[in-house]
Amino acid sequence: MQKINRLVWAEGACFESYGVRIGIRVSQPGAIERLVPFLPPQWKTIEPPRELDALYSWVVGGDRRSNVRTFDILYRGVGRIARTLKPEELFEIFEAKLRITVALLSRRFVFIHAAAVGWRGKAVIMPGRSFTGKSTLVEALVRAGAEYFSDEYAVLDKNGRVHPFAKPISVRAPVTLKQEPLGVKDIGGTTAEHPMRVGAILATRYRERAKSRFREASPGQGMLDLVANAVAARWAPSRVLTATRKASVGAIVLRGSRGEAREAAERLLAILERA
Amino acid sequence: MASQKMSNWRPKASKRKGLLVEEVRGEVLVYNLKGHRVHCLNDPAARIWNLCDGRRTLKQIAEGLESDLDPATRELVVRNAVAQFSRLGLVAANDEAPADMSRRELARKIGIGAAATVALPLIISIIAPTPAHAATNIANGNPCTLSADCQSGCCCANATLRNTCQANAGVCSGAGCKTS
Repeated sequence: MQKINRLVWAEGACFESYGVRIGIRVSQPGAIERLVPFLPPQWKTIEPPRELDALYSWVVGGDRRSNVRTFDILYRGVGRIARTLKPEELFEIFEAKLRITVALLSRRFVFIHAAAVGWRGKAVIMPGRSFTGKSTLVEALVRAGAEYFSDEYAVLDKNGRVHPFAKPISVRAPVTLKQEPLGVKDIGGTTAEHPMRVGAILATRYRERAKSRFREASPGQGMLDLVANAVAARWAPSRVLTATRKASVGAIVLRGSRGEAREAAERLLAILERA
Repeated sequence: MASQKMSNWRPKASKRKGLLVEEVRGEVLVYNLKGHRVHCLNDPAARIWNLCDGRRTLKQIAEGLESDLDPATRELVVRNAVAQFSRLGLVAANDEAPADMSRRELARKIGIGAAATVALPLIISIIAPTPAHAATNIANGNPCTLSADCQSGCCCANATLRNTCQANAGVCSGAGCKTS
């Protein structure tokens, strides 16, 4: 830490997101502004606290002389987490690492890797890892009138209510499969502004040419599906179990494969209407 | 002799420091901090587990359950459930405990159909994810953009396996794993 601290830092800032206090410092004036678009949702600037939960330090690279490029280097604490000649790669890593940091260290919330929408005043959580089709399903649900909470994290408070983590929906480009942001307003949708109790938990994944079939499962299985996707499951198991139990206790739990997103969304909403 | 020992077994549920237990509408979730295994006991399994107090024999546990099954079948079901608990560390282990049967095997043995198996004890187990595992879980062979996206930590940069997660740097030869 002393080595990094010996570098000259041009500016720094502190912010908080979901109760996690993050510090950023950069080696070039004005560079912090370039990081702002990559901060997690619900961030707000705070006065430097006595203790930070995480500190990110960016040694800004770029063209120093006409024939020399220097690397952009990013540290989290004392560990180097990125070294690249392409700033956009550094921003991607910063954004990804910061989100996991917030998800892991938040003491007030439990982060489930899941998509979440609101329907008739209750939240629907769809837990699942990458490449299970969550974002595509969320897009279809939002187009059908559901309120958007997130396509990445269902954020549970200690009472089991879901809070928004409203980043743009990440849609995968067809050839490269690289994630591209899609604004909720651009598809005529609305973003949730208040927390909601959980009405349903749907554990599903996309299967090509499948017909969407969802069968009902027990609250215990729903809770297990949430724990299986909880970022802090090993870090704070007691807090995770409490929040996921409260989230599952009154929810309909559904499981099964899904086909095309629009059909799956219609089927899911029809089930919720009948419940 | 073994059967006699089993009959006298008084299983005790492991409700020690290393287990976190949550009840949700009759079911029980148990998180074992050693090994980070999480078990979901359905209602019948939870009721049997709660009766494992170290004082009741298997027969007495079976008698304590409300069930439409005849006493002998009920005891078989309890015996199988407790054998499972022993294997999973949910009761103090008993080396004499027989290997537990699957639900399907048990249903066949006691002669009940698929629909009736819902009344049988069921334990579903998972391993709690690590933080990285829960957040990004791109397995080998799948597309990636950053090494940080991959479970293995290697998003390959070489011409043949470009932009796919690979097991390690050895598999991804030549240009190797992306450095970011």
